Amino acid sequence: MQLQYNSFGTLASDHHLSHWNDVLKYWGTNAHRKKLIKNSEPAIELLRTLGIKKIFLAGSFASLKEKPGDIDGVFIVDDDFDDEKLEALGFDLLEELEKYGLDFYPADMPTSKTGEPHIDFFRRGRNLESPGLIEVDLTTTPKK
Amino acid sequence: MLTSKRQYNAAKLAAEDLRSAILTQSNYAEKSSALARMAANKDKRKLREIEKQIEEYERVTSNALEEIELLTFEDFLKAPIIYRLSNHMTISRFSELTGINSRQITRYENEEYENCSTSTLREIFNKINLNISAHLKARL
Repeated sequence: MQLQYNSFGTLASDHHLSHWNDVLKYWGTNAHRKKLIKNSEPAIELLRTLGIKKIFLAGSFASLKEKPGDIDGVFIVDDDFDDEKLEALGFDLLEELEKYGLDFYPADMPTSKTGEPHIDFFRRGRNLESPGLIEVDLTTTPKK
Repeated sequence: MLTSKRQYNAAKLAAEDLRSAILTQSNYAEKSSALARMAANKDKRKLREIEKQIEEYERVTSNALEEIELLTFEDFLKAPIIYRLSNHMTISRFSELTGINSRQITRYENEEYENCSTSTLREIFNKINLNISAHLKARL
């Protein structure tokens, strides 16, 4: 599958992946990226155990950049999200995700006083180029 | 480290965005109070980091520094950047002074001189007449 990029090196449209494993297949294009992806796997598993079904990867990871610093993105929080299960973890989820290289927010959480949700912030793009994002279905990722 | 006025201005805007994000995140508590709290904590951490960088840039560019205090090894590596900024030098001028290509200077600064060889660093310090006096202390 040939991905299309715009002049800023970001995706021209969304890239839909049905397995987390496909992230390594399509976006692990060098040793640095492979390491980033593999290091983030415990964090992805953590999101799955909290019932998160879908995530979007964004920023420089979802671009032609060879050495992104981390993986920016958002996770979709359903209306039936279990807050008690999250509290029961006993640690800060977002801080924990950061330890594994994921700079993630809930997709619908506002970024600023304008109320723009994080996913819309990423869809706008740093250069207003409306980049595509990498959509990953977590429900079909096979357990190891 | 912020290495240009452009980055400084961008950091100021980012800090402003983070401050307003922290205020609006409490609205998310209707959906998930835990996530609202965690996102606010995350943005506060980011804000502290950016404010530190802004403060450092303002301090460094306020006067020409006669002495650069080195408290960590990272400070030692950043000394050429601090020297350039405190003397209000462009990268182009710094490149002329050191004899190092300006594109390479930019690359070094982006990496805070982490990947600069010791011989090149020594050469830079010599060219800008920066004397080093260090006091090392064992960690207890």
